[in-house]
Amino acid sequence: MIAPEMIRAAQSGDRDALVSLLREIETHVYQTAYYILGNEQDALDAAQEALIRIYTKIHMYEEKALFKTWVQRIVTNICIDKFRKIKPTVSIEEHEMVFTSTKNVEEEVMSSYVMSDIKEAIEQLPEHHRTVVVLRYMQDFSYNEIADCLDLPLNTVKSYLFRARQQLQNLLQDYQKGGVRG
Amino acid sequence: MKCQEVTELMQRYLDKDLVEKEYQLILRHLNACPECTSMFEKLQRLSNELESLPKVKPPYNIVDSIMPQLVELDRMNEERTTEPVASSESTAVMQEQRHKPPQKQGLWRRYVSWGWTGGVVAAGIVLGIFIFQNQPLLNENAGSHVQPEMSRMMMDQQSTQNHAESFAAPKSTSSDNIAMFQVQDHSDQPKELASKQPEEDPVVPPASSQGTTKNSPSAGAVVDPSKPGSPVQEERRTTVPIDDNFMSMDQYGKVASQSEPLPVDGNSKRDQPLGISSIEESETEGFPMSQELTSPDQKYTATVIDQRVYILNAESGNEVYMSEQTWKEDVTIQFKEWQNQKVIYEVTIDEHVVLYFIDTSSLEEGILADHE
Repeated sequence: MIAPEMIRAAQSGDRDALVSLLREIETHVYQTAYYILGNEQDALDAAQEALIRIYTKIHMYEEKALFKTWVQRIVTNICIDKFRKIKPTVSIEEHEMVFTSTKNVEEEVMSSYVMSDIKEAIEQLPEHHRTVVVLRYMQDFSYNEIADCLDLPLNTVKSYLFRARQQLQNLLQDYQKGGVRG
Repeated sequence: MKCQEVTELMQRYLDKDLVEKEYQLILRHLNACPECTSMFEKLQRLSNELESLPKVKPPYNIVDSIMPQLVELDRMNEERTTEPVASSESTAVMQEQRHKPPQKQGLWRRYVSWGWTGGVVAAGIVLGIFIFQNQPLLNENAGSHVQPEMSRMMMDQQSTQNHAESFAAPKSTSSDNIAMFQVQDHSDQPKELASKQPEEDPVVPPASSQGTTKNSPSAGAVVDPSKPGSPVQEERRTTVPIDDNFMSMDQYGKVASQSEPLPVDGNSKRDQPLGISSIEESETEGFPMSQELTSPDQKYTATVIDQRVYILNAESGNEVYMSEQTWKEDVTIQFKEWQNQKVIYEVTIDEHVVLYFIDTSSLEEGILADHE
C-alpha cells in the first residue's frame, strides 16, 4: 500500500518521492508482467516501460481510482500489447471452455500439480483470462479492483476468472493424462 | 439446487465472495452430489496452488536500470522550462538524444528520417517554428506546403513585430542556407517514403517545445518566400472530402463544448488551445487532417504506428498510451483535433467514416460519432 502523501508529493513534482514510489511498486509491476508474458526478459522490458510511463504521467493519476489499480492498468496494457506482438490474437470465443472434468473422476490422480505445469497452463490462457488470473492471484485484487483495472464490467471479470480456472483445471488434467507428469 | 449454480458458488467461494448462507447451500449440495464434491476439491486445490505460485522478484533493481532514462527525461523537461530560447546547449541535448537507444525501433527511424543533422542553432529554431506552426501538416502532405506556409508566417510576423535582428540576416548567410536545406530535405522525404508505411513518415522531433514559439517571428524572417520551393506534389494531397470534415467538425464541436476546460499546467500558459487554431488554419489551406497531432501544451504527440494510435511524450518519444485498437492495413487513420483532454481521430473504413476519441486523462477510448 503506497501512502497517499507519497503519491501527492510525487504528483506535485517531488522527484525523490516519485522515485521511491517506483521502487515500491517495481516488484508488483514485474510480477504481473512475468506471469502474463511468461518469461523474465519480456517481463523486465514491460516493467521498465511501465515504470517509465508511470514516471512521465504520474500527474495524470486521479485519486478517484486506487493507485494500485492505476499502476496495474498501465502494466497490463503494456503486457497485452507485447503479448499480441508475440502471439497472433486469438478471440476468447475460440477458447470457450469444454466441460470435461466430470468424466472418469475415479481415474484422476489427485497428486498436486507441479508449479511449472501451472505456469505453463496459465500461458495457454487467452490474454484477458490470463490477465484476470494474474491480477487475482499475484496482486490479490478483488473483482471490483480487477474490473477497474481492466475497464471491464464486474460480471465479465467473474466470468473470465471462472472460465480461466475451469480451463486451467482442464489443461492440468490433460497434462496428467498426457503423461507430462504422473 | 442445480450443479451449475453450485459451480458458480464454488467459484465465488474461492474468491471469498460468499456469505455464510451461500456456503451452507454449497455444503448441502455437496453432501448429495459426489461429482460436485470432486469438482470442488479440484477447484480448491487449483486455487491454493495459484495462490502459492512463486512471488517472483526481478533479477535486478529495475528502477536503477531505468535511472539514466529518468534523468534524461528530467533534464529535457528542465531545458524546456528554463531555456525557452533554443540555445546551443539545448541543441546539444537534441544531438545527444539521437545517440540514445530508441524506445521503439520504428520511432527511432522516424526521428532519423527527419534529417536534422545540422546541429546548428538557427536550423533548430527554424525547425521548431515550422513544427509549431504547421503541426497538422506534418504528414506526408507537408512537403508541398512548406513554402506557402512559411511565406504566410513571414507576412504575419512582419505585420506584428520583429525582435530578431540577429536572425533577420541576408539570404546568403549560413543560417539561411541551413534553413532552406532543412525545408528542402523535409519536402523530399515523402518521395521515398510511401504513405502506406506510416512508421516511416516524418515526425515531430522532440524539439517542438513551446519554448521555440517565442522565436517564431525571428525564424520566419530567415526564410525567403521568394525563393523557389519544392515542386508542389498534388498527388499527395489528402483525399478526404472537406465537406465531410466540416460535418464532423460540427459534431465533435458539440461534444467538445460539453467537456471540461483545457487543463492549465505549469508549462503552458496559452489561452488558445493550439490544436484548434492549427486545425482551423490548416482547413483554410484544405488540409484538415494529419497523421500526427501535438497536444495543446506541446507535451504529447499522437501518432499512428503500425495502424495503431499511440500517444507519445513529445520530448522523449516514449510511449504514453497505446490504443487498444489496431486497424487493418487498408484503413485510413487521420487525426482531427486535440481538445481538452481528448484526442480525436477519424477512421475511414471503406469510405465509412467513424470518429474515435482517446481521453488522455481517463485513458478511455471509443467512438465519438459515426457518419457516412
